[in-house]
Amino acid sequence: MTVNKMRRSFILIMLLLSVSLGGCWDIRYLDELSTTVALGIDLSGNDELQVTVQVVNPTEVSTASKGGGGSSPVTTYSATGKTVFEAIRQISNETSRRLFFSHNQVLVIGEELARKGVGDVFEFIERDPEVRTDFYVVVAKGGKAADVLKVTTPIEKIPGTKVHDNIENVENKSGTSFAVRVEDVIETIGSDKKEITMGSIEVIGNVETGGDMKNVQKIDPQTIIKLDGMAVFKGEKLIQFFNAKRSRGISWVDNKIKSTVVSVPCKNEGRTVIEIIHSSTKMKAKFQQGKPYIDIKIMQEANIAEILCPGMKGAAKAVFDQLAKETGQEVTKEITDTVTRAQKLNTDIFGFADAIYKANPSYWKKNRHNWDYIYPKIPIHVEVITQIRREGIRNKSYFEKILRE
Amino acid sequence: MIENGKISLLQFGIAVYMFALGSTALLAPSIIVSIAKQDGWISVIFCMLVIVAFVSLWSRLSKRYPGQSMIQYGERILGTWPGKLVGLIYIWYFLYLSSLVLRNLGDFITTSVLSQTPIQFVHIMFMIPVLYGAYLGLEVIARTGEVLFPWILVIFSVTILLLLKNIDPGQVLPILPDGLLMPLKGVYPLLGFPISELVVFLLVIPFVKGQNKIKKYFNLYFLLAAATGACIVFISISVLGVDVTARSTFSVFDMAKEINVGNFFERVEVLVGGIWMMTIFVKLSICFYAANLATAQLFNLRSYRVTLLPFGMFVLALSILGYKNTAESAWFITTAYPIYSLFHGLVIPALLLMIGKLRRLKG
Repeated sequence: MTVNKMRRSFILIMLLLSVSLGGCWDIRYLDELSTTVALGIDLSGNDELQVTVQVVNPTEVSTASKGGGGSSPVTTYSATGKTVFEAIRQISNETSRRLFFSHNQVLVIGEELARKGVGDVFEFIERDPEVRTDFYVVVAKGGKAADVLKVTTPIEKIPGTKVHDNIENVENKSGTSFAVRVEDVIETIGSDKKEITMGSIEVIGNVETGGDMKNVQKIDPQTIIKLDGMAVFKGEKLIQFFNAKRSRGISWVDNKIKSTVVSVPCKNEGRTVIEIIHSSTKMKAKFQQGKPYIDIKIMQEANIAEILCPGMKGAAKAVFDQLAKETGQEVTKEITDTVTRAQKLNTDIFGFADAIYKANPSYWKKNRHNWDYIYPKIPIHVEVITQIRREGIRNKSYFEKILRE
Repeated sequence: MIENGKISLLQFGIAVYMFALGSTALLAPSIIVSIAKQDGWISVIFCMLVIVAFVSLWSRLSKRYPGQSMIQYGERILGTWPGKLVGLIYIWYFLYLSSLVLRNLGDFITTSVLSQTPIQFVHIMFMIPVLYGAYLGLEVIARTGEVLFPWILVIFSVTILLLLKNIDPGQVLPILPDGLLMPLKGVYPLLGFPISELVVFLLVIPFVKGQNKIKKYFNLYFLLAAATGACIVFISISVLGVDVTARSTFSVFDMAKEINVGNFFERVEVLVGGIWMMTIFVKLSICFYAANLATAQLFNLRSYRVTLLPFGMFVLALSILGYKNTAESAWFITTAYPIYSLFHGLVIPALLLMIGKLRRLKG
């Protein structure tokens, strides 16, 4: 090998090695970061926002060091500012580490702020490349977001994770509240054809003692955080919390039901409880003599969970058909009630406008400015087809033998 | 001969494909969707007609003067001095285009991935392999494209597969609510970026083996790129929605952020970002190489390699000076750039063809 060639390859290797230097500018050591799991935003006095972050205390959650130092697994920091970003930067006055938002799991918005309007909240979250937009949003019902983040939780050491998993659990098991991600909210704000809904969360018990680790040392914690129905918005403002049953109506229309429980009364007394195991909703706008109506079709599969009808014979085909029909009626009633309520509040949380736009763009174009007058009067047509698949591992109920007068 | 390499038809086709996707697929979806709303993907399909017309013009020109590059027959057709002027215009165009492409990549890396890293550094790091590729010549660039191509296909199809559950075709409805006008408007920025830019292949065509099939391969791979583009826009709308796609600077990257399989396979968007590294590398290499080749052909230099370093530094400087931020680039792409680019991609080649016919010149 000639000297010239050697020199050339030396230069080449040096150049290639220098490529890897590019990564050093953005280097982030794990021990220089504070990972946030939950973000809370409240209104603070005169037009200011209070941002609370819940960050993980790594030594307390690691499995290696047993028990840790007995301090709490998470810590919250709060700061106020005119905007979200200003407040977040203010937090650096209190923290030794740089806040890292990529693994954030949930955003809680205080009720007061939600009633005033949530518009200010999302711009930073959407714009910043480090903050992802796939975490869940909930409204702190009747309180401050900061309080929700300060409550310790059993089982899941990190409250942010508990809220995140709790939201998924509710969506999967009861449907009275469903997961709304930040990007869903942003998408809804961006379109003028739907209104925002998001889940709500509540602190039950004393907030002060709830922040103490003693709270989770008890078998029955005195302070818990609990999910509730959906919060319904008009524009960027929260206008009402729907109760569990009405919230499930939203889930049904929005095709969010995965599994839930419906109960129908028996002929004489008692109830039959049906477990919905699969449900799919198709919502379409249709037109009759130039007037729109909304057609909602639900196909659902169900299991029988409990038959508590004294004297009723189970497992007969006619009984099942009857049950299916009654379940359908029950669901229809729920949906109609929710829609009527939303129409009374004049907030199009179901995206009827979007359905109409998709079905007939020219109608929408002509009537979009009168939408507030049209929406409350739009008739809906609900059709629920229920198929009962299984009745469990007993084909007859002992309730046949129980005769109550 | 300044360039002794020969490339195969397949390599040519792949280079066309990657050049056409280049930085366009990264930036254009949001621009088109902000103009044409949910019909953005139809805009891209309309582009196919334009593409066929452009390719037929270019291939007619290169068929008339076989074995010569545009710079060479430009001089013959227009006479020495006007020809040299046109040559200079093209050299400037290719250099300017290189700087824009480099800047697209730099913007992408610094906004989405490495936010603290100075953009200059990203540019320098990316320019080094490009310079090396241009130094080694067309054959190497084409072969690089051939090696990278399957990866692009694999990553692209896996991305789509993983996004299937997020795709809501309802977002694309209603189709054509305002007639054809909206999607036609969406074609405008695409005329300049990237369609006209492919005029650079008039310098590459003389080095392809199998001259008689050039038009077929050019058309096929260019249309394939357009189909990929339409697919990207469609999926982007149906995953992110019209509003978010239109407001997102790099919508495909945002789309890839949605990937989440069973809560453990997620945050793989950087892999998708890798596609743009590959396509932009090929686009930039070809562009930069063409600028050097054109210079050598215009001034009868013995080798095109003498200008590599000065041009490289020039492109680096120009890429920083080109525009201030991505908003300015989007504004430029939707307003002046298509006209500027069409001048090089359509007007000059058409004039060359006409004047050549009038003067009865042949290769």
